[in-house]
Amino acid sequence: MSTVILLVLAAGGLAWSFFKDKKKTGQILKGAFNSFAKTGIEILGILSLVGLLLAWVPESTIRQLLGSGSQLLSGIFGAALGSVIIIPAFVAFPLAASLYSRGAYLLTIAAFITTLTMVGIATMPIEIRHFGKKFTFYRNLMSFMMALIIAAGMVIFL
Amino acid sequence: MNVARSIKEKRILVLAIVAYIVTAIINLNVAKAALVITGGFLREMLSILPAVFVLSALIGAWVSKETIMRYFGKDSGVRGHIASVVMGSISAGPIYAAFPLAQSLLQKGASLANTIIIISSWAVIKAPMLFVEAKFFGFKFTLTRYLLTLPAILIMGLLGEKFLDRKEVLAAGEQVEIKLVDLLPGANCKACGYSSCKDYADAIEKEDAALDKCIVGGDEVKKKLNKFLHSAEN
Repeated sequence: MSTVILLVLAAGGLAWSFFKDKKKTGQILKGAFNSFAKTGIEILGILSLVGLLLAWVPESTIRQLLGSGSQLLSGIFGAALGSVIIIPAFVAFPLAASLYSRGAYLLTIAAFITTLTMVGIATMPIEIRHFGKKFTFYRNLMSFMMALIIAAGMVIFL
Repeated sequence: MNVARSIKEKRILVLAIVAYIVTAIINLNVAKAALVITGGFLREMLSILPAVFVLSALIGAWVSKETIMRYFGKDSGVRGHIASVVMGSISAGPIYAAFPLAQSLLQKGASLANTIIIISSWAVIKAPMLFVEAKFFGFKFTLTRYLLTLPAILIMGLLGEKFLDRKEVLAAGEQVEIKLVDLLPGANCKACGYSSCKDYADAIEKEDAALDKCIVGGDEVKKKLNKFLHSAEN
């Protein structure tokens, strides 16, 4: 749904731009293509490596790691694991939900699904390219700690 | 073309290819499974990324600094933060798709706080995701998580604004030099004293090199560079 919105926005914007100034639109397309090619190669590499990692580490290992140990420790572990891997929501939610229903701590699950989207160790090279090392480091560190706080808050409220 | 640089840019991909070959030798099934997973990722990436880059370029070319500053700038206040959350949450795609767009807004005058808010809400606050999450965890769980995440994102934005230097972050991003080099003729004739047009662009960007060194481009290029630098700095 929001993918469609994005596509419509981009296509509409391009059409408008083309109508206003053909030459400028050509430059815009060239610029967009250049940055796509540049970032695309990097993302392709990163996603391939993550795909490989997920294929090597079976789901059962992730289950084991998240479903055991003390509450605090597995909470931190959940946050850490969520930071390192990228998995699409339609894989992550069923996995996390099934762990939760089998007795994994709320803290662990909440931390895991929050860092999964907000913290991206794997995508750091791309973030650094756009914003530099310092910004990237601080944003991810803050997100990691906030994820733990959010998870702790959920334990208190639920 | 600088060979060392082009290898550096592709090093992750090269590493991935080597890793796949090694995996295929050790265990073909794992390599096949990995390709299926990666294929899923790529479909997601290809459906979103081109649109994101077109939008970023459109914003860069058409939207004025004043407009971005009014809506996302330092003085936009709470309304700017709300606009940033909305902007992030209506956009599609994983977090890496947020970076180019957020960067072009930052270059156009958005505050650091709002840049962080856009990236974070792009990653976490998502209407369709909310329903998927609620399906698996129930509405109470999901709503609580969203209600806790929203203030967390705002706090991160404000902390980032306080502890990071906007100019430093801007300078650390790569985009500006890419546009600068586009203004040069691309002949790589070395008449300017640098080994390529890109190196000259880098020197202008980082060392304030003089703008009149391009012999091929002459006065016209000098004017273009001058105009570009002025629109990028204020």
